[in-house]
Amino acid sequence: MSTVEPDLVASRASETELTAPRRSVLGLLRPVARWLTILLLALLYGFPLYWTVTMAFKPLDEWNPPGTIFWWPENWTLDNFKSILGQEVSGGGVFSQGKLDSAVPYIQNSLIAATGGSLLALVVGVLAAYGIARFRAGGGMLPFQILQLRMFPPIAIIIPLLFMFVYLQLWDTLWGLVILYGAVTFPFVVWLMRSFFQEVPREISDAAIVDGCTHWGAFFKVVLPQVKGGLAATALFVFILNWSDFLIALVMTQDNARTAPVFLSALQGGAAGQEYGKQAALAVILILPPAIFGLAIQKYLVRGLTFGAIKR
Amino acid sequence: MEKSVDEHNVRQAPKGRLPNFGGRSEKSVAALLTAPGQLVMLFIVLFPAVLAIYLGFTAWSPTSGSDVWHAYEYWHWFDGYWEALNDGSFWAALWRTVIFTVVAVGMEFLIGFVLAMLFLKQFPGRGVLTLFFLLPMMVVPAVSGFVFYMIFQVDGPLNQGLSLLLGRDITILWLENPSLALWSAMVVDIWQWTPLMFLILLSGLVALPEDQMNQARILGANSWHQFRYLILPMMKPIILIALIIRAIEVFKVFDAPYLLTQGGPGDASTTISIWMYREVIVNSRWGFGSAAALIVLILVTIAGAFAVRPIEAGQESTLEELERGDTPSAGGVDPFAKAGTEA
Amino acid sequence: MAEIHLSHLTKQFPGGLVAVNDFELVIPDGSFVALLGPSGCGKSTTMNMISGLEKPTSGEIYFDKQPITKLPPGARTVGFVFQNYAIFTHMSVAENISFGLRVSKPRPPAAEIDRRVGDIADVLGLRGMLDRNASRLSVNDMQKVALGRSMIVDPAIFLLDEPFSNLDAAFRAYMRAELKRIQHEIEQTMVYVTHDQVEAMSMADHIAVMDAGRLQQYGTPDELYNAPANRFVAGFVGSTQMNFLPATLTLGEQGAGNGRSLTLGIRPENVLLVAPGAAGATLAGKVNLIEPLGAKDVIHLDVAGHGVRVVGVPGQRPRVGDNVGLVFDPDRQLLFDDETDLAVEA
Repeated sequence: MSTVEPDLVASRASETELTAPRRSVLGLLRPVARWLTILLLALLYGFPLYWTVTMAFKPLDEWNPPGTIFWWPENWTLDNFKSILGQEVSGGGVFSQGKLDSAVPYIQNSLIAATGGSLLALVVGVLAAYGIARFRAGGGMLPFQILQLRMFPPIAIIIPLLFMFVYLQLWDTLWGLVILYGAVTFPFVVWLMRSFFQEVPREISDAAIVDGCTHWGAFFKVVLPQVKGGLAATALFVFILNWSDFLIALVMTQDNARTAPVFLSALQGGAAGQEYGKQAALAVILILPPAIFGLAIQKYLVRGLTFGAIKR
Repeated sequence: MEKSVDEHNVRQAPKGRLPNFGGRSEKSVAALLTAPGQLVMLFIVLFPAVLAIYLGFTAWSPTSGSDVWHAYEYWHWFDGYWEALNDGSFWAALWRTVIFTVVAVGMEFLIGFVLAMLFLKQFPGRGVLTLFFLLPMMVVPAVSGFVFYMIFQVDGPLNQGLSLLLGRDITILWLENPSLALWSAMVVDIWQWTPLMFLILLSGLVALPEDQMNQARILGANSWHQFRYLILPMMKPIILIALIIRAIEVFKVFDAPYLLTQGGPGDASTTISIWMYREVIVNSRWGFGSAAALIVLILVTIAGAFAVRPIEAGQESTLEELERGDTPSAGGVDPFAKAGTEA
Repeated sequence: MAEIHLSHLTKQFPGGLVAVNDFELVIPDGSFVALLGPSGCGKSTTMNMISGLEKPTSGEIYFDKQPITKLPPGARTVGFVFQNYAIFTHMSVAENISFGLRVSKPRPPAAEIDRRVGDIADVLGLRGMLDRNASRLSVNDMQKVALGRSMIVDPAIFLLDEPFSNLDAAFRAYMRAELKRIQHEIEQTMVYVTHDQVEAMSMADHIAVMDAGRLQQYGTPDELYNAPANRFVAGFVGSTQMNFLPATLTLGEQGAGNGRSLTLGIRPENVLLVAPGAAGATLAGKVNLIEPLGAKDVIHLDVAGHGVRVVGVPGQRPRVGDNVGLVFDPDRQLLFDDETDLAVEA
C-alpha cells in the first residue's frame, strides 16, 4: 500500500466547542423502556387469543367454575373439538338442553359461500379493474363511487335486499349468499386490482398488440401474468372478508344456509348457555383460515384495507 | 468505420396485419370489461336503493297485510322521515355511534402509532413480533365478539385478573352495566383493529426519506426535534388516510356491540347499525326503517365527500411516485425493506 | 475550521465486507480535500464515519486533535451536503435554512434567526425565494439551499457527497468554481467525495485516491498526475486513460532485478506519432480509430496486439489504416512492478 507521509500542517486552534457525550443512563433507559412497552402491549393483545385457545382445550369443569379460574388447562382434552364437529363425547357433563349440534354443516356453508362469493367478485372485479386502469372506464368518478359504497352502513342496504331476496326466493340459500358476498367484496377487488394493474407499464400490452394480439389476448397472455402476486393476494384477502362476514349471513340466512359465524353467535347465550369450551373450539377452527391466509398476504394487507390508497 | 443501413436490424411491423383490436375500439372494450361489474352494482345497489326510497315514503311493514307491491297503499309521504328525525332513540343511536367512532379510532391511532414508533428501529425478534401483532386483525369478528364476551363475564378472566392485581374482589359488570356496555364494545374494536393502524403507520414511517432524517441529525436535531419537525409533518397525509378509512368502517360497527350485548342492556350499546337492525328486523317497521336508513345514508355521503379527496390524492401521488421511479413498486414490499441500520 | 485526522480507520460491515481498511489521513485545516475513487471504494463510508452516521469498527477520528469518534452526529458541528440534497420538502426555503438554528440549544431569538437566514440567502442568491416551498425549486436552487442549511451553523468542517452529480453540465462547472471560491474565502475545511476525477482535479488542494477501502495515494493534483504511486492511480487519474504496455527490464544499472516483469505506463498526451521507422520511434503501430474531439484527436492504435491511445493535434491527423511510429517522451515514462503494482523508480 502506497501512502505518502501525512502532510502535517500546523493547525489553527479550533473555535468550536464540542459538547460532551450523552449521559449513559438515559441511553440505557430507552431500550429498556421500549422493550417493556412492547412486552406490555404484547401481553394485552395476546391474552384474548391465549384465552380462547386454551379454553378450547379445557374440559367442562374448567370452563367457568364458580370461585376459581384456570389460567392454564390442567387436563388437556380434545373433547371440545370432537363435540363441535359432531362426534359423540362420553361423560360430557351437564348440557342445558339437548345435544349440541355439530358445526360441520355450518362450516361447510361458510366455505362454499366464501369461496363462491370470492370467485364471483374476482372475476367481475378483475375485468372491471382492468377496464378502469387501462382504459379509464367509467370516468374518473368510478373510484369515488366505489368508495361511497363502502360508506353505507350495510344494514341500510340489507333492508331492501332482504325483501328482494325473499321475493326472488334467494333468501336462506347458498346461492343467494354467494351473490351477495360477490357483490359486497367486488369493490375491494376493483380497488386492489386497479392499483396492481396501474403498476404494469402500458407499453407491455401495447407491445403485445403491435405483435398482433387482440386486447383480450394481450390481457390474458401478457398483463395478467404480471399481476399474479397481486391477484393471489386479492383472492385471499377477499376470501378472508367473506369468511368473516356476520351481518349479511345473520339477516339473510336461517336454517339452510346459516354460516359458521352466525352459528357461533347463536351458541352464545343460546340454549347451549355457557358452553365456552365448545364455542372456543369452534372459534379456533374459524380463525384458522383467515390467520393463515392473512399471514401469507400480510405484505399486501395495507393496500387492501386502505382501498389501495397506500401501496407500501 | 460506418455501418451501412442495410445491416441495421430494423424491426418491421408485421406486413399486411393492422393491429387487431378484435374489431372493437378501446371504448367498447372498456365498456365490456366493466359491464358485469356495473350489472352487479345495478342489482345490488341501485335497485335496493330505489326500493328503499320508495318504502321510506310508506308505513308499510311485512305484517301489515299486503305485499310490497301494494305498499303504496300505506303512502304517507314524509311522515316516516319526520318521525325518524324526531325520534330520540334515533339520534341517541347516532350520537353513540359518533362517540364510538371517535374514541375507537382515536385509541387505535394512538396505540398503533406508539407501536409503529417502537418498531421502527431494528431489534431482535422484530419480524416475528410484527406478525404476532397482526393476528387480532385476522380474527373473524364473530370470534372476537365471543372471545371478549367470555373475558368480560363477571367471573371471567378480566375481573379475576384485576382482583389478583389489586388485591381485592373486583366484580365489574362490563356487559351488564349500561354505562359500561358501549365502552366494552369499543375495547373489542380497538383490540381487533389497532394492528391495521400499526401496519399503515409503520409503512409510512419506514418510507420516510432516510437522508432527510440523517441530515437533521447532523444539524443537531435530537429525537424530539426529529419527531416534531420531520416525522409528524411528513406523516400527515398517511395519518389522514388511515383515520378517514378507519372512521368510515367504524361508523358502521355492528358485530362487536351485537355480539356482546345485542345492543343492550336496553339501548346502552345500540349503535346506529344496530338501531336500524332492530327497527327493521325485530320490530318489522320496514317503512320507517327505510326512511331512517336513507337519512343516515345522506349524512354519511356528505361526510364522505370530504373524506374521499385525501384518499384520491394519496392514490395519485403514489402513482406519480411510481412513474417517477421513486419508490420500489414490487407488488408487495416487506414493511421493513427500507429501514436503515442504526448508526 | 478544523484539521481532521483519520487514524487507522476501519469499517467492517456485518457479513464480512470491509468497506474501509486501516485508513490514515490528515486533512489540514482550511484545505479542500477530495476523496476520489470508483464506486464501492469506501469513500462514502469514510465520509459517513467523519460525520458520525456510521461508527467505525476500529480507529479514531480527531478534529483539531480532539477525539470525536464517540460523539453523536449532532454534536460534531459538521456540515453535510447529500448527493440528492435531502431538502426538507415540507418546509419553506427559510425553514430549511434555519433548521439547524431552530434545533440548537439554546435556541437563538427569532430576530437573530431571521437575520442569519437573510445573510446566508444573500450570499447564495436565494433572497427572493425564502418563503417558497423547498420542493418547488429548481435543482440548482435546491443545491444552494442544501449548502446554506449547513453553512448557517458554522460547522468546523464541511462534508460533501458528490453534490454536483445531479446538476446539468453548465451549472456543474459554475458551481465548482463557486464552491472553490467560497471555500477559499471563508477558509472552511472541506472534504469532497466524488468518482469524477476531473471534478477532483479541478477543485481540490489535495486528493486522496481510494480503492477497495484503502488509501492509494494522497497528494496534489499535479503529484497524482505526474507521479502516481501505483498503477491504479495512474490509470484512474487523467481524462484520457493512460496506456499500459508490458515491459521487461533489461538494463541492470539501477540494481533493480534483471528480467523483472514490469508494466510501462505512458499518458496519451506524451506520445508522439511519427513516420514509421523514423529516428526515435521505439514502437510501430497501425491506426484503428480516430475520435475527433475538436481541440484534440484521440487516436486509437494497434501496437503489436495492444491497444494504445494517443492524443494528437488535429492538424496532423493520420488516416485510418496508416502505419505509424510512436515516440515516447522518456521523462514521462512510468514503470510499475507487475506483482505489487507500485511505481518503480526509473
